[in-house]
Amino acid sequence: MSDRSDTELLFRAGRGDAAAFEALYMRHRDFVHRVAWRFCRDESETLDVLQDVFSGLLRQASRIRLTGRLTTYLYPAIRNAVATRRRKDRPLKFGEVPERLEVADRIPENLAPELHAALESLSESHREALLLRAVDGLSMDEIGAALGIPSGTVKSRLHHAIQTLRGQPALQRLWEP
Amino acid sequence: MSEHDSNLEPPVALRESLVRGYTPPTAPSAIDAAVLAAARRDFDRSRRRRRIWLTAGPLAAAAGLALAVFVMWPTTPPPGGPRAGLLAAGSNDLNADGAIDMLDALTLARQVASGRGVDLNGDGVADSRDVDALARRAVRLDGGAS
Repeated sequence: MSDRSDTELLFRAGRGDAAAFEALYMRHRDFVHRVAWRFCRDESETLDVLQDVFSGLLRQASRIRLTGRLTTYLYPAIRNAVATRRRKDRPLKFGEVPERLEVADRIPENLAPELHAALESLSESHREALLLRAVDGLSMDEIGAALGIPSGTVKSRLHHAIQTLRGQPALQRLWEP
Repeated sequence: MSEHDSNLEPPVALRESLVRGYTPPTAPSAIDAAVLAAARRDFDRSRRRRRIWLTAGPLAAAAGLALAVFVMWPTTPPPGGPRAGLLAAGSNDLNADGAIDMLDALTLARQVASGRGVDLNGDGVADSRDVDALARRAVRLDGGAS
């Protein structure tokens, strides 16, 4: 199963193949866990989101039309799962119109202070492109598909993020060979 | 800007720092067991549902068809038109030759013309419409048997 493409595994999972779903889970669990942790406040919420995302994938498997790797579907699914959980945490008052809940990422405290500060200076969209490339290893096209933007915009955001970090004297050591 | 433009590639040291910082604590293996067990339960439920549909589906379809036939049967108008149903109540063999045919329609036409016609279609008057109804009845494929 492990040599099959995401598209094929998803097709099989949609037709009730438990082994195909298990293969998809094992392949993408770390990505979902990592990205969920990026948006969540704590480990318990992260694990809840992980379960939500895969149970959603299971329900939708027969309807999803993948054009690339499953990560491009999973990334927005993770954001939606986080937003849904936050909405549940804050029930609406009678007559209140639900606002679009923005899901902000959380910069980990265990980063070096100068890197933490540099990441904080980036806008969320620039940081998002940088992390999807540097941490998750997605291609430009995959980042574009995951974020629903053209890959030209991805390149522009990534370029801006890298140049901003490169301009920080405290981070020069990261560019030294 | 190409995919491998150096301005778009985070340097290795930056990548490593980010990966280290953004790696979550290891998820407990119980979470794998929970997700996969839930998936297996879901697959089992779907399989059971499919099996039920495969067994009960044809039975339900047959029952539905039988019900539809039962409901439709008494109100389905015969091919001769809605009023021809009223004709079935009587014998309509006006010339008493043992068959309902065009000769009965001719007989009725004469009776109507002489003012002694029979109201066969139940509209309250004996006229050419009753003759037409009887004529239609006479040319039915079943030979006009009442």
